Amino acid sequence: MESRGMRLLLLASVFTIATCGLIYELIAGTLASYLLGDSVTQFSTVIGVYLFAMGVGSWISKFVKKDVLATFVRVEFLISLIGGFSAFILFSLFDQVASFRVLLYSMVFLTGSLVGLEIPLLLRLLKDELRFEDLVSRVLSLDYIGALAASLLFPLVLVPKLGLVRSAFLFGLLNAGVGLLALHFLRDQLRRQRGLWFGGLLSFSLLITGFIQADRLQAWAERAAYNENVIFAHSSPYQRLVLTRHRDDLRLYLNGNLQFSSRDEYRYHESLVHPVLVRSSTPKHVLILGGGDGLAAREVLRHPTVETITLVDLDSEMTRLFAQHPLLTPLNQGSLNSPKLHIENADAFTWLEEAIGRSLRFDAVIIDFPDPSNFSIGKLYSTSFYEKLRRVLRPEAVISIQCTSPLAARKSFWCIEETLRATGYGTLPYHVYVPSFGEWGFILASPSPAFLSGVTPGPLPAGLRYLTDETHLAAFQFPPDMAQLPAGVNRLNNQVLVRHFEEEWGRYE
Amino acid sequence: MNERLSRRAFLAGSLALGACRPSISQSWTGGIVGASHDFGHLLRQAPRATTATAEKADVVIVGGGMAGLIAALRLKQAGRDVKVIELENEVGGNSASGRNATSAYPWGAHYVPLPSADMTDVCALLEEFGLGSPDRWKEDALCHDPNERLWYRGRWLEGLMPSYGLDDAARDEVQRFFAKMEEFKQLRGSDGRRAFAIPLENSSRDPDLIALDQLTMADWMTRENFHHPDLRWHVDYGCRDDYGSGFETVSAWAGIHYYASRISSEVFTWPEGNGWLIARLRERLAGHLIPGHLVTRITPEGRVEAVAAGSLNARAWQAEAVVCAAPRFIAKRLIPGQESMPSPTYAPWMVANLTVSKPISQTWDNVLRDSRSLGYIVATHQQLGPASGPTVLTYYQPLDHLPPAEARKEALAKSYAAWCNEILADLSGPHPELRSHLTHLDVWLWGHAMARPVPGFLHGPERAAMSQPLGKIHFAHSDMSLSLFEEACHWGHHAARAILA
Ligand SMILES: Cc1cc2nc3c(=O)[nH]c(=O)nc-3n(C[C@H](O)[C@H](O)[C@H](O)COP(=O)(O)OP(=O)(O)OC[C@H]3O[C@@H](n4cnc5c(N)ncnc54)[C@H](O)[C@@H]3O)c2cc1C
Repeated sequence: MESRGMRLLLLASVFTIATCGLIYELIAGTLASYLLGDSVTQFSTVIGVYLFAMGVGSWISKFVKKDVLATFVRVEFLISLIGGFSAFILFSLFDQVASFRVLLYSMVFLTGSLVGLEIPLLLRLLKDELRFEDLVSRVLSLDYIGALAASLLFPLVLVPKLGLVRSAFLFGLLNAGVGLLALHFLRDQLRRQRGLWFGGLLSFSLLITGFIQADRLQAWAERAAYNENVIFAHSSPYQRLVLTRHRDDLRLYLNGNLQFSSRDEYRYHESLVHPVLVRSSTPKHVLILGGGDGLAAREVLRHPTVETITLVDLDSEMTRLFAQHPLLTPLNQGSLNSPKLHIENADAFTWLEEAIGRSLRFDAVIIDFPDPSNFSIGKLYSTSFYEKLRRVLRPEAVISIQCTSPLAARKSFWCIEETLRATGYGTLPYHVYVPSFGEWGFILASPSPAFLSGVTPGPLPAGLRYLTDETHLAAFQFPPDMAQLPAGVNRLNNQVLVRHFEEEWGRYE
Repeated sequence: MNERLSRRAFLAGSLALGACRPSISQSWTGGIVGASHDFGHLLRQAPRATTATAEKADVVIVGGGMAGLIAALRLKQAGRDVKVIELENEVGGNSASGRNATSAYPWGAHYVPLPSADMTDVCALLEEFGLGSPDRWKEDALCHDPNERLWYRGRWLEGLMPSYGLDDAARDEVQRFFAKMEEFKQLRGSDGRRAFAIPLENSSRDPDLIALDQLTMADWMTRENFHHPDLRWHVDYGCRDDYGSGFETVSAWAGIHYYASRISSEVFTWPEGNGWLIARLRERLAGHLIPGHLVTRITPEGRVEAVAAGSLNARAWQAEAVVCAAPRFIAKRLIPGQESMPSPTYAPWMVANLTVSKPISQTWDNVLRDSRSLGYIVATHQQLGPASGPTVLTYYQPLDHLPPAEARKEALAKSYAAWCNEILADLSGPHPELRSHLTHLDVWLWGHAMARPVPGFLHGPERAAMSQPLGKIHFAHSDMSLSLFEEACHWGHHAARAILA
């Protein structure tokens, strides 16, 4: 009877730890995609490392010669702590550690190896209880059933109902529970138990605290992730907006990527807007694509000839926030409420096709899209997009495009330039230094290829803080480490830009 | 979640979970839709002459599929008065498509491989439809990146050939295979023609090459020492994708043609698949289409008889020439005394369209490795805006696990619920959450979807006889060669040219 009870208990543990194991893997994968960007790479690398680590764990198990039970119990407590706190740790240390990937993969590796150790140890504990073929078939089938349970629970219940941080704590508790139960029921087979009991109860209480306080911890972790005070956070259907403040520095993050810092955004926005407008003789009708923060619009409004500004931004919550929030309207000087400006909340590509139908024509266009970090945004930098754009431009129009960093992502930058030339535009690339971003690149382009090289820029508006005639001219010089290089043409059917971008920025994560 | 999870609630929850049985109530709408079987089956009765007075036309085209419509377009452009008679209420045939509030979606053909410049008929047609030209095709309609991925051992891999986990020997074998296919691409026969060309008519007749039509693709692979299961799966998949029959059924010539006839791996695609091309043809043929009419009889003298769907009223035409663009197994029942005319055997297919409330793939073609289906494509893939809303998935399955007649019977007998269960079980590997996002699921059965290029068919004497005209009747259907858009285009042009000559 006793032996049957023990068997059941151990088999139940197989099921529980199999479920827990897969949950930790899913949590790490989800978190990595959430923090590092929506890339298939995150999930496959996490799964790869995890499976490999499980192999390492199984291999290590052969070095456990004696005290198998005690080792098993210790492993349970360790997993419960590492797995249970994994989401919390990853969240709070993102941005704090120099290389987040090293931390991520170390945690994944550690959890994977421990999970890999569990099953072989359990098999050994059970080997005297069951015949070999029964043992293998029961343990393996329970292992797979556990995996099934985890993969169903995770998307259906855990993520929507509990969130990542709390789910991790919950499964840590289950792991610790398995350890404690084993300790209790198999106490006869263990010598010195005091240390184990202490470790187990400590883990259990830490995890319980974590589980109960998960909301507060998550808020704290998010604050730590941004290293600043979060003063506003909101998920729109398209993105997560987080606004932070540290002393007088306001920062906006979209999906975790810095959009601007109020300390130096003028460098970026003056450079994005004035070079294009001083090359367009009397700009009357200006189009801004992206730029829902109203900061580019603020600069455009310094040009008195401008009669209308059309601002197209996907996210109505973003434009509403920047039109109304009392901390933000001083920043864009209420540009979004200017009578000259009107906002259209639409996807730029779709809007463009419509604008062609409406026969709209512009003298200047300012493109401030997010960096091409995924396939949907990559389309907005394609030959197809620039071909459509041409159809809403007057012949003497000039456009400017934010083009990521020519230093950190040199190929990406020149790929955009090559794409514009392949579509028949004349180009004039330039760059400026924005401390919170680093070296940043822009491209001026005109639908008549020769126009840009012939035009003499008009005077810059008064009151600028960064651009002067000198800094303006210097911006067009490219030192050798950012010099042009062949990078291919970005088309809808190859999306080379997204691939360059992932490769180049991948090195910095 | 702010309240603490109480112990009781937790226990109750876990009990409910344990007691959870597959639910019998279904939360989506849909049914079995598809070709008008009953109306078409009127043909089972022998064609009987009607006495309806004949309307006049220069050319009557029987069947409004891709081949028939292309023939009609060319004849109309040459100034002929054409009439296209189609049994369904919409033209399109195997390139049919549907549309709901979410998206348009294909029911059959869904892509056109990028043609090489020497495929002049295909190029000219695509150019007329505004898709660019061989030196610069319009990229909006080319399948956007990422194009395809494979669900293999519990994860998605980019591309269709698993390159992962192969040992050196296997890698060598895969390389050797593709090098061989590359050789076939460049190869010309003793007559100077390309070994494997599109249209098939332009291929070399070199006896050494034609000998490849005598054995199956699987036997050829064994003979050439291609044994690796991943490679053999890939080839089997290719044959099932293009011909609806596996590599143990189709000839080596057909199997190699799949790999060696095309220069580019890029494809044109649209939300409604090749239904987009049908729509362009339909616009250009407005006023010349007579849908909802079953042709019951065609005579070599140029008389065409039909009955209208619903009313069953008889109608007849007398034409200078007739293009018979219905499949051969039907054609032989329409022409008196031709019941023994040669016709190929056909593979049945099942196609399902699933409307889901959330996007589930950024990739267009999602292939499942360990499945009888070919996986699914995403109708909204070519959309330019952000992919955040609902979408339609088109799921394809050639029914080649049984001989065609038995598979057809089994498919017709299967209930809607049984199809749903099969499809959802198949997709639950990569998408365990799919059931909860599914809002609509329609199933379409194609009894005679694709002619099967079994050994001896493509280069045998019967097929050669098929393209010969019979009095005023010219034949044009892709089942006289391979079941591809390019072949339908070829036969359409072929018939039009013969009539205009
Ligand atoms: C599921 C599926 C997927 C496919 N996918 C692709 C693909 O991706 N790419 C590709 O190139 N090809 C694909 N194909 C091949 C496809 O068959 C061809 O591309 C093309 O549509 C064939 O055109 P057709 O005119 O030769 O034949 P059909 O489309 O068969 O045209 C014949 C027409 O004749 C009509 N008809 C028949 N009998 C009568 C009668 N008695 N009276 C009046 N009308 C009649 C039929 O209703 C039909 O409209 C696919 C086919 C299927 C079934």
